[in-house]
Amino acid sequence: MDFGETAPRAAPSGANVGRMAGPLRVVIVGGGTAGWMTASALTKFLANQIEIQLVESEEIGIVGVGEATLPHLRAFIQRLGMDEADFMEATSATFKLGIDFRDFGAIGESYIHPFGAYGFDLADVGFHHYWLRANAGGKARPIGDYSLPIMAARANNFARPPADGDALDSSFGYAYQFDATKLAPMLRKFSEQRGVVRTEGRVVAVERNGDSGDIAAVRLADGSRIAGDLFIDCSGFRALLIDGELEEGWEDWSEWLPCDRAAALPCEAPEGPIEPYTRATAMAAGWRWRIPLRHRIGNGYVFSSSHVSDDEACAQILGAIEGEPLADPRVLRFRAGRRKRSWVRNAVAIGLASGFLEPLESTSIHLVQMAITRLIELFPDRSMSPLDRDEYNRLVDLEYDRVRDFLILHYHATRRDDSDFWNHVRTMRIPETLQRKMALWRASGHVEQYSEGLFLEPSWIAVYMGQGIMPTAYDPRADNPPYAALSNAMTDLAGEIGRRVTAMSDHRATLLGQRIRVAA
Amino acid sequence: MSAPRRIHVCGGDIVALAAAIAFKRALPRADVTLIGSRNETVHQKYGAAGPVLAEFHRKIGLQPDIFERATRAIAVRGSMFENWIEVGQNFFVPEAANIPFADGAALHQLWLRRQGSHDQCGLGRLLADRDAEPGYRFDALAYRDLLVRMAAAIGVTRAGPAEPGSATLRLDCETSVLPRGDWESWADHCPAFEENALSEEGKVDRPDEWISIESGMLRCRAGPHLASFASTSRQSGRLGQPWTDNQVAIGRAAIDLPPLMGLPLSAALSDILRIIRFIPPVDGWEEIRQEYNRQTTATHGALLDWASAPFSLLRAASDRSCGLAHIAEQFSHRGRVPLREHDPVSTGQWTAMLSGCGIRPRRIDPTALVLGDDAADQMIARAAATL
Repeated sequence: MDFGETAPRAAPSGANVGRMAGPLRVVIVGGGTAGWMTASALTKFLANQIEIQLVESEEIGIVGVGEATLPHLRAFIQRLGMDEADFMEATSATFKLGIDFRDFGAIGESYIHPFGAYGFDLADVGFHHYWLRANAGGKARPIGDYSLPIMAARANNFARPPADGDALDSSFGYAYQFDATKLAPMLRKFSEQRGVVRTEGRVVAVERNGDSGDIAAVRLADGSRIAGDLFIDCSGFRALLIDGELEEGWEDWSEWLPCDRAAALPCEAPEGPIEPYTRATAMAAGWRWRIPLRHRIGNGYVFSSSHVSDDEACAQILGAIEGEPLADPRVLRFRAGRRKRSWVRNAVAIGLASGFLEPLESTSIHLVQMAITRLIELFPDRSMSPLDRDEYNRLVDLEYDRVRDFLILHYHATRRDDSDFWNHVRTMRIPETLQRKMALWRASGHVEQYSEGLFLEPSWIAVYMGQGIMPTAYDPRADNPPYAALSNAMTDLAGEIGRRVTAMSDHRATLLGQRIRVAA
Repeated sequence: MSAPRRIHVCGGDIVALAAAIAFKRALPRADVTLIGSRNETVHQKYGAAGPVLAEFHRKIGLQPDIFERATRAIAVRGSMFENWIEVGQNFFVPEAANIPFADGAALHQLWLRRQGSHDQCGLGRLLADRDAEPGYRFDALAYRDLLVRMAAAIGVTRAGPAEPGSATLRLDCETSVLPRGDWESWADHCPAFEENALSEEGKVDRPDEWISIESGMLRCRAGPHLASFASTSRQSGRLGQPWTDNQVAIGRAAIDLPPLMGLPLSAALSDILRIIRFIPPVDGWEEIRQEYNRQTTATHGALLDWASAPFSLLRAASDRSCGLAHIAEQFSHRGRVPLREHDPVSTGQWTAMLSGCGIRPRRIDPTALVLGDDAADQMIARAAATL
């Protein structure tokens, strides 16, 4: 068919544009979640264009970041071609509809940050503006009553959003709560089946190219040498390449995110329902997580060592868990922040070597996934163009910075004055980018819009409202419908949500229904 | 909650009428007054706008069939730049585009890899989003008359320049006023144009819009709608702060774009929809103003990059705006358009434009090299078969 567009002129390099002289040699230093996620994605999408060697040592334990995840992980699993049921069975996963935050705004208050929206927009006006109007008139229920994922979570019910559902059905997504120590072995199997070569060993030295300064090879404790073109540093907090060798600086965010320790331990799963949500409960010097898996509960206390000692923190988490402990608390140390550049020369840091943000919003695995996605998009050839590096670093920094602001909000938006820790975070100076967002919300009920970023409008609304930051105004268009009609529509919506939640299965029954073994 | 009660819209052309109607629809209890001459001439008789026009009509409640009948509108899927680079070389830029992926490889990367190896359709056609709303080309005079009737029907009032009284919010759609002090000129990157005269040619029996430039005259043709534009001494560009105090500049008062691809009206309608989203309550103006200006200036910068592309990409790199230079550099490097906040132009459209203007990347993504030649050709052929 002739549409008038002229046939393109032949390209200078024709059909071979971009062809590499042989596969690019990729060396991943470190296994664990970040290392094997990287290996599996690279081998899936770059197949014959690269050769991957992954070096890891069984002597070195893995942190096993993030037992709780965000909905984006589903896309990662799907793109690898893995079956969701297989994945969930292998990792003892449960479903997750959001995070239940307790005692953050004030002791005794709680809210769920859902993976989805409140109600739905009407005449281009966000639902929360109508809710603010109805609430001002005393006719609104708590805003969570108008969210399908929140109400389902409260009822311990779950159903996947149907592909052909209506606006309410498609108003939410879901994620997983899983045993992170089981993810890496699963991805290792996937990767090795596709040609990734795993080498057992500990990296003891790094060789540089004398001319370019690029990394040429890593040397292992047994004397062997692994050469490569691109090195990916997944060595966790040790950051062997990006810090140990290339000495790239760290942007420290501890002034805003002062928690620098976590005391973690599993406990037995109690009888009764399996909650389809993660719990985050504020403590005197931080907060604790509770992640229900099928066979156990993951627990941890993220705390500021300036405000509580390790021993005290361990005692407090032991006193707070709701089941028989399965191990002693293990204390992890960290520092909030990110690498000034995550890609330096021919080395890319992914995971904890690149940055750390506490798991308050289950972002650890997502940040690994985001970095892998960007790396594939900007995957280099042997020239290691600074254009790829700069763009990668720009995009990774943007994501980290926006997540950072969102996490700071959880601490700063509080009325708690019961401890030095909460007094500090409530009164601290916050980044200008967050100041601007909060000022806009307070003045108008609007959430700052951006197209790139993990947490979008519904998430910000959940935390603002959940922690008592209420706007002084709402969109004037929300005044258009007659008040009685608005009130009736909101009552109908809450009723419909209730009916849909009732029609869902119990979370435990849903897990049983997809052949996942669940502890009785 | 108190909304702005008195809204004055200054101007009498399509943008002012559209703004007045949109505000009256959004705030039915507000007094919305058009201030200006009833007989103000329309700048262009050649009406053109992108997919935002259909969205705008839905929001103001204007039925598509009424619009199409009244203005002899024709739907277009994009613009063909005719003989733009050299005689005999045409390229197509879609009104909406997306980039499908298969096995992690972007379709345009496969196209770039296989270009010249067999008969291919152009990249612009291949990336066009056939499920998206079309753009429209229409009789602007008839459209203005339609909006005049609609404004009157829904209660927009009119006043002369001397009788308006005070306003809570004032929308400046006056295109005759001189640029304000913080006007940022883009004259170095793209020319400004004024419609010269309607052509006397008959209907052009080709789909979509055809754009050509000859001896400095820009010619646009779409079905029965024809126009030529001459460059003027007016400076293309934008206001640094479109919203100051209680006054918001919209349309050419805020951004002056060349009349390509329906950009001027599309930009104005998008601005109207944005200001409607940011209607301020009684208090809290400062924060809303800041956010509106932040989003709008980013969008306008991106639009000026886009509008200048067909002009400055063909000239020396030094003539390019910073934004366009960055995009062109990234695309030249590996056929990738960088992500930009608040850029209303999709990466698919950018890819069509950059490719159409003759930029060929030095390399492509390795994800596009994983598939065998036959598999890559089949993917391209499948996409082309749906055209």
